[in-house]
Amino acid sequence: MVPVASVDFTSQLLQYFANGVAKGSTYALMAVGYTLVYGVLQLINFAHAEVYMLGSHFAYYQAKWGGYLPDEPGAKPESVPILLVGTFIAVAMLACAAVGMLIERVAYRPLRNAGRLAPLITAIGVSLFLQYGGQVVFGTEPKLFPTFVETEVFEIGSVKIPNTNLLIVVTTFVLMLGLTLFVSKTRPGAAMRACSHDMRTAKLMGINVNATISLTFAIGSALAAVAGVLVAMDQPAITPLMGVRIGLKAFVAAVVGGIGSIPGAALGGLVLGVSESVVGGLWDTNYAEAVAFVFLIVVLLLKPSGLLGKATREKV
Amino acid sequence: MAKTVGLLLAGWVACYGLNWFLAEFIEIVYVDYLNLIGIAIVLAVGLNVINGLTGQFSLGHAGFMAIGAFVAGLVSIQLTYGEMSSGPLEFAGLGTFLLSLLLAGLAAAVLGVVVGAPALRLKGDYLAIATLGFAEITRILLTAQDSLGGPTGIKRIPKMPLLPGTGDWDGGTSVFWIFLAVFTIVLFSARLQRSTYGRALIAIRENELAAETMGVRAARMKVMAFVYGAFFAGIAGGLYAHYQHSVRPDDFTSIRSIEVVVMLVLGGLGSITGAILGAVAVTLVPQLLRPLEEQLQVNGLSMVVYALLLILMMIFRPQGIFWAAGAFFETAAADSAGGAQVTALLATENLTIRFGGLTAVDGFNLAIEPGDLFGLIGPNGAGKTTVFNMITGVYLPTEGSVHFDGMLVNGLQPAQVAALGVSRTFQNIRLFDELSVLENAMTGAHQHAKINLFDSLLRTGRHYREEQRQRDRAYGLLTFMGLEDRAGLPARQLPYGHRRKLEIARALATEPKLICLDEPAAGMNTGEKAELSALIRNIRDELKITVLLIEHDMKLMMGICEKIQVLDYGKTIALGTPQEIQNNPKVIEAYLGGE
Repeated sequence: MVPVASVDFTSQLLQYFANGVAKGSTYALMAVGYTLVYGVLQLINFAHAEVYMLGSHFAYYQAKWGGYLPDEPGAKPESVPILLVGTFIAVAMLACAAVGMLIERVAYRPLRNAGRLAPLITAIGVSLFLQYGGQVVFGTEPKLFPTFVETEVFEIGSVKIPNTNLLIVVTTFVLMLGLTLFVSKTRPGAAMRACSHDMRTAKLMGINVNATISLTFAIGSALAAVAGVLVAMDQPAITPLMGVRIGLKAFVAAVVGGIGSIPGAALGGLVLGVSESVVGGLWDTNYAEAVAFVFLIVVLLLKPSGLLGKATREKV
Repeated sequence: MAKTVGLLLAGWVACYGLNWFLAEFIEIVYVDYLNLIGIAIVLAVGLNVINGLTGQFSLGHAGFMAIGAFVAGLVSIQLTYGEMSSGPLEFAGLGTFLLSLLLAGLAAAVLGVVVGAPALRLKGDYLAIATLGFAEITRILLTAQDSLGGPTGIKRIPKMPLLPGTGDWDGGTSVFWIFLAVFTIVLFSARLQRSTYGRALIAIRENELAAETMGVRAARMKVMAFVYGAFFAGIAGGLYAHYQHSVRPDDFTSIRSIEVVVMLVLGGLGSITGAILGAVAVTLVPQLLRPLEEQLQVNGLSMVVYALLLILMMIFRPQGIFWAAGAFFETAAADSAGGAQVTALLATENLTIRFGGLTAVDGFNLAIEPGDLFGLIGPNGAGKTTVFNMITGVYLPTEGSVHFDGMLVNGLQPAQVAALGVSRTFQNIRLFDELSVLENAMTGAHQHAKINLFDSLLRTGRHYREEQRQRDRAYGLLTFMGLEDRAGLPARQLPYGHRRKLEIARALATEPKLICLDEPAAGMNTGEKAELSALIRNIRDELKITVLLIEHDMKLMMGICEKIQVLDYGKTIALGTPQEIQNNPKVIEAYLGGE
C-alpha cells in the first residue's frame, strides 16, 4: 500500500480510505467463497485460505516456466504480455476450482450426514495439509512474484492510487456483479439458492445437489485464485502460509456482512478493509489487526445474523 | 470431603513418584513430551466442560491460556527478581509459584465472565466465531503492549519450585506440578459431570428451552461452565509459562484454540477419557513424526502426515474415539398454536401477541382456580401453544398480563416462572436424550438444590444428601407414571408413549402448583390414552396439582376436564363445562365450518 506523506488530515483520511477499499476488495473476493459454502453446507471451509495461496502459486509457476522470472535476484524481469497475464490467471482459476471441488469430494462429502463438527475438523486437516504440503513442495522461503503490470500511480487531488489497487477494485466489482447475476438469473444459480435454502427439499425437487455443491466450491475457489493473484501483484512475496491471516479476516468479513449473503460479503469486506486501513494509519498497526475482531463481536452481539443477514427464529 | 483430601493426597504422592521415576530413568526429551501432554490435557478437559458437556462451541480457549501465562509470568518475575533485569534463571519460591498460578486462574476466570456473559447469548457457530474473535483481540492487545515485550513477550520466568527429594535434573519438578494439575482437573470434572450441575449442563446441551422451563437458569449455568473451563485454561497457561520460561503472544494464536477443539472431537466430544486421549494424540503424533522428517530432510513433512491422519480419522470415525455426546447443534423445530378471567391461581388478562403482522393470540382471558382440571381446545393454529409459551415465559406478550399466584409473570425468564411453580410439557417432545430416564426426571428437581458448585466438586455430605433427595423424588414420580423399570435407560431409547410420560414426570419433579400439558395424548393409541386419562386425573386428585391441558382428542377432553375454553383464530369463542361446549353452535362452526 502507499505510504502517506505529511499532508492535512482530510487528505490523509481519504488516502487511507482509498487504500482500505483495495484491501477490502480482496477480503470481499475471499469472503464470497466462505459465504457461498457456509450458505449451502453450514461449514466453515478453513481450507479456502489455502486455495487462495495455491492461486498465487499456480500463477507464479506458470510465469516461471514461461521464462518470465528474473534469472538472478535483483535483475529486471521481462515484462509479461497482457494477454498472457490473462491466461495465467484463467489457468490458476481453473486449477483452483478443480482443487476446491476435489477438497469437497474427498474431505467433506463423505461426512455430509455426520453432524457439524466432523467436517469442521477435516476442514482444519485439509488446511494444515495444504499449508505444510505447500512448504514441502514449494519450500518455506518467500518467493518474489513476477511483475505482471508495471506500477503506475494515479493522483486524484492529493490521493495516490496505484494502478494495482485500481485493478483490484475494478476486478472485484466486475466479478461480484457477475456472481450476483449468475446466482439470481441462471438455472444453476437458482439451484444454488435452493440448496442453500433447504437441501433436502431441493433434492426432492430433482436438483442435483452434489453437482450444485461442487459448483459452489468451484466458483468460490476460482474467486480465491483471483484474489491470490491480485494480492501477490500488490505485495509480491508469496509463501505457503500466506493464506492464514487473510483467510481469518475474510471469514470474519463474511460473518460481519451476514453469512450466506453475497452483498453481505462485499459489504463486510469493504467495512473491514477500510476500518483496518484507517485505524492502522491514524493510530497503530497493531490495533488495526484487532479492528476486524472488534467489529465481529459488536455486530454479533447486536445483530447475530450480520449486517445484511436474515434472522431466524426457533419455533416452540 | 475426607475422601477428596485422601484422593488429592494420593494424587500428590503419585505425581511425586512419577517425577522421581522419570528423573531417575527416562530421557529428558520424553519427559518434555509428557509435560506438553499434561498441559494439553488440562486445556482439553476444561474445554470439554464447555463444548462437550454444555454444548456451547467455544473456539477461544487460547485467549484464556494467554492471560494465565502472562499473569503467572509477570507475578513470579516480580516476586522473584523484583524487576525484569537480565541474569540467570532462578527457581520460584513455593508461595510465589502457587500464588502466580492462582492469580493466573482467577484472571482467566474474570475474562471468562467478561467474554462469556455477552457471548453465550449466541448459539452454535456464531458463539464459536465470537469466542475466536475475543481470543484474537486478547492476543493482539498483548502484542501491542511494549511493557510486556511486545511480540517477543516476557522472558526469564522462574522455574517451578524444587521440593525435597526431587533431584537436580533438567526436568526439575515440572512433571509433579503439571500432573498434579491434570489429576485435580480430571477429578473435579468427573465429579462435576456426575452432579446436579452436570445434569443441568447436559440438559442445556440436549434441549436448552426444556432445561429452562424445568427451572435450569441456562444463562447462569453456561457462564459457570465457561468460567470453569477458563480458570483451568489460565492454570494451564501459568504452568506453560513456568515450564517454558518465556511466553510470546504468538504462542496463543487461534491455531492453538482450534487444536484444543480438535483434541476433543478426535477423542469424542463430551467424554473425559476422550479429551485425555485426544490431547495425547494431538500433542504426540507430530512429535513422533519429527524423526521421519529429519531423516528425509523434508521440512513440514510431519505436519503433512499429521494433517492426513486427522482427515482420515474423521472420515472413518466421525464421532471420535470415545463418543459420548449426542449429535451436536441439532435443533428441534416445533409447531405453535393458543386459549380465556381473574382472582385465580393463573389469570391472564387481555393477553395478545403479534408476530409481524399476524396476531396469533388476541385479547385472551383465562382464569384457573386452584384444583381445576382445565382444558383448552381449538382447531390447529388457534393459538393454544402460543398461550402456553406466554404463560411459561418463552414468549413475551405484546400486550396484556399473566398473573400466577398473585404475581405478575410476564417479563420473567422461563426458569423464573418454573421457580414460581409453573411447569409444562411440550407438544414436540423435548427430552434430554443422552441423559437416563431417571436423570431426566432429576433435572426437574435441580432448581430446588440448596448446594453450591464446591459441594459437588469436593463431594461434601450436602452433595450426597442432595443427590439422594433428587433421586428419591425422581424415582417416586417415575413410579407414579409407571416408568420405574425404565429408570436406567437413556431417554432416547424410550418408546414414544413413554417419552410423553417421562416429560410429565420431569415436569412434576419441579414441584409445580400448575402443570401445563401440551397435547400429551398425541400419537397414542386408545389403550395408552385411557391410561393417560387416569394419570392426569391422579395428578390433580393425588398430587393436588392444578392441570391445564391442551388436547385435540375430544373424547379424552370431554371425559376428564371440568371446564373447557375454546380458542379460534387467537380469540376465545366459548367457555363452559364439556356438556355446554359440545352443544355450543360457535364451537361446532369453528370445527366443522359454518353455513
